[in-house]
Amino acid sequence: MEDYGLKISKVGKSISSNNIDDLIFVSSSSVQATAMIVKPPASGTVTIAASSYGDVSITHDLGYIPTAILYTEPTPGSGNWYMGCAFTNTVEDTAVTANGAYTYVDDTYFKFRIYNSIASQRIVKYYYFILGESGI
Amino acid sequence: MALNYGIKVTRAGYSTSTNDPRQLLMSSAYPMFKYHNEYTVSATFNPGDQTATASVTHGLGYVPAFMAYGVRDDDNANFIIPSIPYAISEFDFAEAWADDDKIYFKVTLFDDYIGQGWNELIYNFSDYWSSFDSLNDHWSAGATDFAFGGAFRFTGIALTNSQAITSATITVGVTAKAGNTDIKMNHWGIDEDSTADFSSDPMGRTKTTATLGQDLSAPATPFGFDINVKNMVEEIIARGSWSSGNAIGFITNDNGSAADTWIVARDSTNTLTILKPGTLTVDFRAIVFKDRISV
Repeated sequence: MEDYGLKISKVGKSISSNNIDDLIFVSSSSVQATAMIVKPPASGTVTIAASSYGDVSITHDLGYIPTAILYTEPTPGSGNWYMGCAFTNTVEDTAVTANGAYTYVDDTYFKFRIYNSIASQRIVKYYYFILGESGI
Repeated sequence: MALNYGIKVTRAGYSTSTNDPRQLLMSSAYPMFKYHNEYTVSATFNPGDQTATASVTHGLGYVPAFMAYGVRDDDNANFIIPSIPYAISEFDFAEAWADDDKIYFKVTLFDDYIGQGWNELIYNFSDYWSSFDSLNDHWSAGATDFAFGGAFRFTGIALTNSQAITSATITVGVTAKAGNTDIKMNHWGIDEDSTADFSSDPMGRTKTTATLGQDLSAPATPFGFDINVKNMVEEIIARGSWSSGNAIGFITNDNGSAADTWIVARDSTNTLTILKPGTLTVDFRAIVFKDRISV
């Protein structure tokens, strides 16, 4: 039986290693997907009034539900970038909500909602990756 | 004609001519996360802690993309960060963030929402009593032209028979006072398996051997003060018929306060806080990519 494909090992590791952790890439038939970034990583800002929600809608138009990875800087200028959603606004008084009615990915859009619980406007930065494999 | 060259690797059974990224494992048309390093670090909850934090240094000089995970040492359940209470059956809320030098982790016990930390039990009082006027609508201690005291009762105590505890403290919310000298008190536990409510006078109930004398310099009201009842709780839960969920009570009598020197707790928060021994360790793991997050 033919056995061909592509392997790339980490520096100092053998491509004949059976330890998946030694490999940067392997096209083994057991590997069904990789973290391929199919849309250019992008960023933006959303201005959210005091004690209000800000909604962001990103069109990916892939025709299937991809995996999306989101990072936000809830406090402008803090340099602290959080990954993903929060259950409540415990993250620096501002956070991406986990309410599935507003934060979700479908076959056309990646949408998310941020709640700003402080008594003044915030401009929240975000950065996201859209990965090629299906999110479901 | 523009050159079109590159490399593609498909999943088994698919053609390299596909335009569907889901059928590809790699294409030079698409970037992939570039692995930088993997870091682990632990954070420990001591009894009473509501949050635990830790950090690792990636040293990239810019904010990188990353993935983070955690695992608790009490159930060995791995969870992705951020974790959301209920949604993934964890009762913690874990978050992670990056700056240009470090990855930070923070876990907040979901019990934080009701004010409890790790191995910490907090009970608001169910009953109080004042022997000044034999009423169950406030607590008191001190003296006018006669000495008096009070009692507290707490229900649903989640301690098993003779369970080890680290501390037990009543925090009294004092709302009124008189006099400028010390309030002199003696405290006892009520030496019963599950003391009844205070619809009847509790002051004559059997007291524990364990007792505590306390001289309190009372500041301006309102204020709170603590009573160390560890020895009393230990004695009560060591009773042969003690079981988890029982009620527990404490009696305070005056111990020589000057006349017209007293304190009262009425319509205030009065709590019993019990700490149990043992820590919780959460092991964090961050996979850091060289891919930059920038705006």
